[in-house]
Amino acid sequence: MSTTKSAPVIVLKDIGKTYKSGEEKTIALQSINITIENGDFVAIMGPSGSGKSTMMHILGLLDTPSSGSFLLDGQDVSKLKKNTQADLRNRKIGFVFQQFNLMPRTTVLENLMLPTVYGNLPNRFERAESLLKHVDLADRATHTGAQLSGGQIQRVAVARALMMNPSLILADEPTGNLDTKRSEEIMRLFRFINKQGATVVLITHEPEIAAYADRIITLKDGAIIADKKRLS
Amino acid sequence: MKRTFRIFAQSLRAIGRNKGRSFLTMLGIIIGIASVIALVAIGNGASNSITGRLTSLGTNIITIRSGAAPTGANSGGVFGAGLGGGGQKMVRIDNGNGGPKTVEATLTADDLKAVKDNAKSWNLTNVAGYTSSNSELTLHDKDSSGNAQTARMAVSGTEPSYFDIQSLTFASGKSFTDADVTSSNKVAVLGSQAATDLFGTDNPIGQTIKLEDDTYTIVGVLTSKEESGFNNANRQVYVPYTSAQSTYSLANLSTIYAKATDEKSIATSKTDINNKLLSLHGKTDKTADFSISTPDDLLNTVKQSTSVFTTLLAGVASISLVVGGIGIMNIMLVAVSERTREIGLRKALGARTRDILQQFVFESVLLCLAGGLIGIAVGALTAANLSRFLSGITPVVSMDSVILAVGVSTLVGLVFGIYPAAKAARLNPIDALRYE
Repeated sequence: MSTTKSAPVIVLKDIGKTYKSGEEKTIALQSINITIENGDFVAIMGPSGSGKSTMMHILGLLDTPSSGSFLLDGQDVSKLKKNTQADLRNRKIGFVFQQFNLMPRTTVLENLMLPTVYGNLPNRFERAESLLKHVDLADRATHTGAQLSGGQIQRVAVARALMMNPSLILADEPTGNLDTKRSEEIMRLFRFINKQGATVVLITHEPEIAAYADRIITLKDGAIIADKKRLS
Repeated sequence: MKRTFRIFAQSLRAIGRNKGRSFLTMLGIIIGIASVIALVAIGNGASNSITGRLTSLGTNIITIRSGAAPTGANSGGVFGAGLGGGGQKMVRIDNGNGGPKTVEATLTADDLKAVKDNAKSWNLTNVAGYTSSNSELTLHDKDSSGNAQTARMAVSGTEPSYFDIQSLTFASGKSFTDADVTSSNKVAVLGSQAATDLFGTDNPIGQTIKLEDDTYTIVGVLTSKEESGFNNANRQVYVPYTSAQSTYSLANLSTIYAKATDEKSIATSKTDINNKLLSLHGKTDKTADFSISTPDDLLNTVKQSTSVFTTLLAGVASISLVVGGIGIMNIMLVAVSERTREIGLRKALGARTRDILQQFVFESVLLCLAGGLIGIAVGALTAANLSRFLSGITPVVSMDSVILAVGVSTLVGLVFGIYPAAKAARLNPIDALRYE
């Protein structure tokens, strides 16, 4: 760590998002103000329709806000061209989705290497192998998704999210398809990589999952209704 | 460039992952390219076979014949008259009952002399006057019961140099001589078939045949020559042209044959002859009462018609290529919707619009190119096997058609791949990731 305090990973200022369909206007998010520091582990909670999916799309640079500003590592990313968004997603954001994380009929190693197709990474094979060891799947490198359990697939997804050494790991319901035991296993992995220095933002509707985070932001009807830090 | 290479590698892997489907996708292109290659190879083979036969007739013979140059509508006359000995169109003499249409023989002994006198300066090695008649000839005293035997055979009146010009050689006996021509001696040379037809296994040398009222003595028999399809040297009776003129009351010559020293000088020789004869006849190019042709003219005519034929075949086969291309597009479109989530995932991981476009275009071009290469092999094999049923034609898979096939299949992949690829590239990553 450098002596000067680095900029927060995420600064959301007065973010709003409205969807228009014909005459009707739907407000998905309004007046969102969040700051997430480097090394944080944040859960964003809320029932369906609360705006957490929109939130995850904006944080993941898959969508742009209608109003307000979004600083990622101090850089304003609220109004970017699609190609610039794509490049930033590649370098700064590691995604873990609920399902379909792996390409069908493709080996674990190839899946892991996928981000390096769209961005330069020196020693990509070595990094992929060391990350596989990290998630305890070194012996599964040549297996395809169909030969892995749900928990193993999510571990591959976590390893891939770390591949480009991003500023932010964005996990969207990563345990949605797993049983309790596997869920715990994955959440322990998130805790582990967070301890190693990764900034993690977790989107979930399950309180037990959110409980693994250090800070829980609760959304309802597009607005923040609670922002609690866990006492540690 | 590195990025493009990595995306290219992704395309290769995607094809490898779906081997069965990839093959089915290629099938249309394989069939299309194979039929183009096979048909063009057979067309080329046919063309070679025809031109080969024509070339064997001698490539530096200049033919000067009576009558204006045939128009396009009657280009068949080129074959009949140019190298013809049958002389359907050359017979001046009319048998009096309105037989075949005749062309007046306009070439005179003076014309022949003029060409012969200038032979050296015009690079001509041999010149021969020629006239012909379809004639009834009678075998002398051949029948045991005393009846005269008759046969219908083409009679060619010419000079000894004619045999050299047409590459005719003697199986037995010898040619009549220039002296025979000068003094109109009644001597004859038989084509091999004519000799067999007229005399069977008997030796014809020294025997006689009767043409009209004149009795001719056989002095030589020619070696059998491969039939060219346009004339049959084997079924002819050759006599000195002066003798033919007197026997058949012919005034002029139907044709003058000249052999150029080499193929290069043939064009200038042709011009020289043309200018001289025009001035002798007092005519211009438009009113010329004779025409000059060279094997080049004939070859070109043949090559033109066979290339039209080949192009036509290729055109028909190309339709199957277009159908194959549409097949590729359909399957690529299905693949894009099947792989929507993959596209969403790639975009989330940092793929730009262009990256996705490239990947799908690469996939379609690679499939078409592979299909094209397999098609070339299948087409060549098909052509080789079909040749068993086409006698005399050796299919030729030309480098041109192979290069064209590779080019066309790449183009088909590009053209029919771009729409599905653009569709894939335009997908919104959020929608694509949610796609069920």
